[in-house]
This record gives sequence, structure tokens and C-alpha cells, in this order.
Amino acid sequence: MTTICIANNKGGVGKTTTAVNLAAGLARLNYKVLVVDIDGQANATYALTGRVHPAPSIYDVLVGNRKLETILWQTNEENVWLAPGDGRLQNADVELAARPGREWRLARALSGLEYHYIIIDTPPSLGVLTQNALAAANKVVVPIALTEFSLIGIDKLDAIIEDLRDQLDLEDLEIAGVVATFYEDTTTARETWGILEKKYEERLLETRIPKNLDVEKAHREHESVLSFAPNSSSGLAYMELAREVKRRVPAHSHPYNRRSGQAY
Amino acid sequence: MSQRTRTRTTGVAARPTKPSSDQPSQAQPAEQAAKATKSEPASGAPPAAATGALPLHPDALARALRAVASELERDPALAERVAQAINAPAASETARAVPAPSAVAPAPEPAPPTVGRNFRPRIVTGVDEALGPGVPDPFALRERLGEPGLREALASLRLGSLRAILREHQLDPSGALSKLNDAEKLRAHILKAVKAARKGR
Repeated sequence: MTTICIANNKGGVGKTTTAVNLAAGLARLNYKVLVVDIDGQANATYALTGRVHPAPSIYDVLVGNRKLETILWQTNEENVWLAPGDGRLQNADVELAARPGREWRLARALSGLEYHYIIIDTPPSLGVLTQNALAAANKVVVPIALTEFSLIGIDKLDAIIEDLRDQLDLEDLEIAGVVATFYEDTTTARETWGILEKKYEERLLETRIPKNLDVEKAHREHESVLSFAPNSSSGLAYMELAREVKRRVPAHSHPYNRRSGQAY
Repeated sequence: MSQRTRTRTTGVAARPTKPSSDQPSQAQPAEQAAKATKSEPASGAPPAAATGALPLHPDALARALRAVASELERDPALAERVAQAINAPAASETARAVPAPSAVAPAPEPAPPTVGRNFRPRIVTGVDEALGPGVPDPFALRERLGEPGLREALASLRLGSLRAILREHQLDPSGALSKLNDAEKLRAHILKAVKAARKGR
């Protein structure tokens, strides 16, 4: 099993859209995928099921003692399952702050699950929840919107990944790819792309996700853009992203077993 | 307070007050009092005594202010006019706190913000919790809610959930219907399939 954390401390860069559509794309490549929604806005939950802040949710697993297996749902996408999130996650950072081993709660909860890929959608912060996601993952995909603000603060994510790798002994935790979202053929987008190329080199994924209304329409219809408009520019791009991620981060078939310093 | 600020403040107080001929005479003490209050130096000495520009004792100033306040409390209409003149919400509140005679008209309400004629706020409530987690089961819903209930439940579902029902319950083996972005056709097909299944029992 391969666990991918979709992270960026900036909001509005397309994390949830990337998580939902990457999962749908990998599922179309015949992989069994679990999406874990640990963002208190629970937008991935809405986009995949139409549910708004359902309970029980991953909150009850992370903050309470509920078993993860008891909250998993089949989503509207074939081969995509979901550990739903809800609004109570917005307080989870504070509630978990004083707990020993707080960074490992998600990794422990995922133990023994059998999926090809687990995709974790994170909140736009670098708090305890995102640290849980990073500790549970072995690869990180960073969506970056090709806009003027996109590069401000991006170094913070690099720093926290490095810190966690050292502190928690996560040898294999690394940025597997940076994906450009909201792409439009504008000077700003081209310049930002150039800067990202220099900064991330081969880690910058070739697929660029274009800005496209079909993505929003798909969210409204509670499904991925691959179901709603598979031949749209964003539908084709997300399918290509799934192929690229699959090449860079191959799936493993053995059950999830995150141990400090060990491979899966 | 810095020396610079203090000097500047005192300077304002020291400026000679020029009475205006077109102002009512009773307004002058209050105006002077206000200026004096603003310009009181940090040392605490009365500004009038320090500069000689305002021959008003602090006690007299306090009496004048109390008289003004008392008059405002006694006469809500005056309070309202004063409030409107200086556009001070606090004064308006004071006036409202006093039981107003019926003759006093309330201040006009500000006009509500306007929105485009076609604007309709959409509140996202999501799929009804009563439909349970995961992909809804139309057969179970028909048993539980009856046909009108199932019809209503399907009407609340969007394309993604309808496609998922077709897939999970194998109601569209060819997959042709699922490719359509036509929720009405999908709903009708699900209803038809549920009806057919009941008849076939």
C-alpha cells in the first residue's frame, strides 16, 4: 500500500480537488483507493458522497477511540472508499495537542487496512492533523496554484517535512511531486511555472491542471470530474496526473503497516 | 506623553478663542468647555489657569456639562437632533434609553443592501442523513418510505449519487445510461427498476 498526503499550508490551491480526482483517476486504473478526509471543512467528503459533516467520522477515530473500519463508506466513485471528515476536526489540533504520540494516531488507525493507495486530504495548516497525515504517509503531493500568491510560504512545508522526517524517523517521507493547478496561459502562470521548475526540478510533475468550470460542476454533482466530464480539459488532466503519480509512486499490495523508520 | 506632544496640545489650548457672531450664545460655554477638556495638559493644571485664554473654572465646566446632559436626558427630541447633528451613535443610544414621547419619530432605518434580481442563495445541505451512509439503496428505501418517499429521496440526489446507485445495484449493465449527465433519466430508470423488481417477486 502507498499512502499519499496531499498537502500545502496555503488554502485554495486545489488540495481537495486534487485528492478527489487523483483518487478517482487511480481507481480507473483498477486500484482500490481510500480517501481520508482530515480537513475540518470536509469538502472531500461532500464531493465524493454529497454528505455535509456526517458523524461518526475520522474525528471519532483520531480524538475518540473508534475503529477506522467502522466509519468507512463506499463513495459515488467506483473503487473509491472514504473515511469521512466533519466540522469537529477544526478543534482537533487543540484537542490532540497534549496527547502523547499525537502525530501517530492516524498511522495507528490505518494499520492493517488493505488498499492499493490511501490519499489523505489535509487542512490548509501545518498543525497536528497535517503532521498526522505526514507521519502516516510515505509520499507527499503538493498542489500549487499558478497564481501570484502561490509561492509565499511554500518553504514552510518543505521545512516541516524535513523536521518530521528527522524527529519521527520517517526515512521515506518526501515530496513525490508538485502539481500545478488552476493553470491558465497567462504571464503570471508561466513565470510561476518557471520558478517552480527551478525550485523543484524533477519533482515538478509534468501534468498541469487547467482552470476549468467542470471541476466545480462535478463537486456540485457529488462526483469527480472524471465521472462528470471525462473529456473536459480538467478531466483529461486529472487522468494524466493519476498515470504520472502511479509511475512515480507505485502501489504496493501489502497491508498498511507504518512503523518508524521501516518501509511498508 | 512626550514633550513634543504636550507642547502641541498646550498650544491648541493657548490659541485665542474667537467667538462667532452667528452662533447662539448658549452654545459657547459648551464649545469652550470641550476645547478645554481636549487641551488639558499632562501636569493636571487647569488650562484656563495656565494660559488665561479661557476664564472657566473646572467646577463651572462640570456644571455646564451636567446641565447639557440633563437637558438632553429631559428632552429626547433635542437629544435626537444633537445625535443626528454630530452623527454619534452613542448619543442616539442615550436618546433611545429615555422613554420617548409618542410624538418623536424614530430614526429612519437604513435601506437594505440590494442584490441582483436573479440572485438566489443556495444553501448546501447535502444528502439527507436519513438515507444512511454510503451509496443509497433504492430497494430498501422503497420498503421503508414507499414509492412517494423513494421518489422524493431520488429527487434530492444529484448525478454522482444516482450514477453510484445504478452501478452498485447493477441497474445499468451496458453503462450507457450512466454516461448521460441527465439526472431525470437516471431517476426514472431507478424508479422503473425498483417497480419491476417488486412486480417480479
